[in-house]
Amino acid sequence: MTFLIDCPNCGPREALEFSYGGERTRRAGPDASDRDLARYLFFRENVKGWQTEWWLHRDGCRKWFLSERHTGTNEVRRTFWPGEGDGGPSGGGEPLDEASTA
Amino acid sequence: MTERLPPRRGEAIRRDRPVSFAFDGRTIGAFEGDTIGSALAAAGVAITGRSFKYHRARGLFCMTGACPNCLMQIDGIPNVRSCTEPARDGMRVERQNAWPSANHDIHGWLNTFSFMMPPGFYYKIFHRPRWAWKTVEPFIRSKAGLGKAPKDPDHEPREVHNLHADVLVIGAGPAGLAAAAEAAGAGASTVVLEERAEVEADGAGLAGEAEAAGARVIAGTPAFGVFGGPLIAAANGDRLYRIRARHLVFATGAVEQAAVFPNNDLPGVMLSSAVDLLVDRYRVLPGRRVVVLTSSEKGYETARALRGAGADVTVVDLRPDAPPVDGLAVIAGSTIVAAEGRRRVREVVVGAPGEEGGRTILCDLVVLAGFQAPSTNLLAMTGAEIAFDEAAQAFLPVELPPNVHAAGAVAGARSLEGAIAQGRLAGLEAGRAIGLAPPDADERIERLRAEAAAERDPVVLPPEVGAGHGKQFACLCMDVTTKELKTAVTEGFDSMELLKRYTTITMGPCQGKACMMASQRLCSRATGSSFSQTRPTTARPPWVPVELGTLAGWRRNPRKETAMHDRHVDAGATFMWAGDWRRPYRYATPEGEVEAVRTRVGVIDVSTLG
Repeated sequence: MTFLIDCPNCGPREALEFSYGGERTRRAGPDASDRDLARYLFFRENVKGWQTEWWLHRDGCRKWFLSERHTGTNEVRRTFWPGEGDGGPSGGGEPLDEASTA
Repeated sequence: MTERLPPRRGEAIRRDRPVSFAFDGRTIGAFEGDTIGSALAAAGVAITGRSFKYHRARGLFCMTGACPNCLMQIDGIPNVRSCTEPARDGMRVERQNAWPSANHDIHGWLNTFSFMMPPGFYYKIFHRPRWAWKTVEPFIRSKAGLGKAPKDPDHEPREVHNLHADVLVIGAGPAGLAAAAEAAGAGASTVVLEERAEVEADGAGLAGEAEAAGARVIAGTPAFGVFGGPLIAAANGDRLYRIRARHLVFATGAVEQAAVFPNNDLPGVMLSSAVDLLVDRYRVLPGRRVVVLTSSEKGYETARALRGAGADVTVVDLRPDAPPVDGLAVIAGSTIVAAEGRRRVREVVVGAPGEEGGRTILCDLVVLAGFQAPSTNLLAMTGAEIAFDEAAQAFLPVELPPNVHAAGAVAGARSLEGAIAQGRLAGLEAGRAIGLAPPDADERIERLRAEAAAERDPVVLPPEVGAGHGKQFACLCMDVTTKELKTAVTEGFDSMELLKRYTTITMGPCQGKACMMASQRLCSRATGSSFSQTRPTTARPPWVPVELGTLAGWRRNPRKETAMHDRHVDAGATFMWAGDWRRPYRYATPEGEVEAVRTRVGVIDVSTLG
């Protein structure tokens, strides 16, 4: 597995320089039920397709950022800082949407 | 000792610069520009080694590094392809897999007892009693195998080069150079990889055009694998190249294939690629009485060159309507049914395809000319689809992944003009796709598409098998015969992938280069299907042999020194490695240092901690 990731700070670099941080999740809030907490801790979407995920530029600037990668082809179509762009959660204590309706 | 032919323009050897090397205890004289293989041919050495299993005598066959016949132990490194290894002064060259010598190998008896060793025989016998396998295994292991692994530490640090380009062209033949010229001419950063040690000057001046346009040609550097990314891996001796490009052009050409008939592995049976190189580039005449088997113009070109060099040539043409050619004896509508000889081919039987018997022709060289299998392996590693082409009698790429192009013989071109047109087309299209198109690109692409359409003359292949006694080899690497393939199919291993795993066809050092076509056709014959339905085995790296050291050997590591490194040196420090850093280990004796820290003050440079 080798491909290039465009670090928002450093530019395109070999994937081996980065550490994978898993798919972007919604952190369970302080009042979350056990069920929601378990879901946040143990369950992932595990898609085959486009996934928004965390990466750490381990051997470079050591910054965390997000990328949109196709899990089937390893194509990376976009990289961006947390809070930038799509208005998705940056992992900072937002409530679980689905959990709150479930 | 055979004589060199008279000097000729374009020859590879420098006659004013002799070199010599040790070969099995003898000294062989050669010239700079020679390969070990060509020097041995010039010295009249017919046997270049013994085969893997039956210890049969084998000689130069392809001269392009595509077969296992000339593997030798060179300066301690096993399995070096001597046909492409440049001859250098003072080399130590030894033939492998033979004792006491390749000319008189004591294990030649294995050939006689081959009936006891069908494929997988070690799975079938020696099961009971239980100690049987333990007893025979060391013996079998000592008889099989290739070369001796070196025991010394790896010789020197290896390097890794990472390259990034807009367009990467694999293969610097006419198609590849044409593609590089167009892509670089359009302004794309272009890298060309070539397996041969030098890119030969060609009539069309493409090498000059490509370099003038700014393409970087890296010779002596075969691409051996395509990995996810896509990442192209190539090796040049101790150097590993990891290359990424936005567009890939595969101009990997085709590999010439053997014909199958009894004793088709005798020394003196060669592909036309070998004969052309020996005669044109190294000025060696590999035989004086020659039979050329062909079904295309290729065979006649080689025949004329041989006749020009003073050989007596008979052409056997598979086509019944072969046109007569001035001054060449042509036997039309025929094939080579069988060959005879002990340590070298002595005669061939020429007759009608599919029939036994025929007329015997004495000869010391048999040339198999113009039967080709496109080198689709690297292309297939990108995920390209290949399918059988009836006219070409070969599997050709039909569907390519995005940003992947194919040009030249690998894409079915059979003429120089067709190959160049396909190359230019690929280069222009790659350039256009990254936004670098000359103003007339669209118009030229249309025109080139018409020119590049693959030729439709049907290819005629020799019959799948010959007739008569003697082993007919499908796979030279692993010593697999037609009979053994047939037996394996009878036992239920009735597809290419199963045959590969059971008989080890296409699994040897050549990785199917020299034997894939014969294996496919024999498999289809034994299973009652057709060549078109018998796909080649899955392509996997490495497509060309690569030293393990190049992949995993000692690397040149970066060495970092702190800002006060010189002061440490002045203070008499000895150093240790701390990651990439050189960190002072101690300055004087341990006792002195302890005393200094205890009674006065100690200073440590921790800038290596980051």
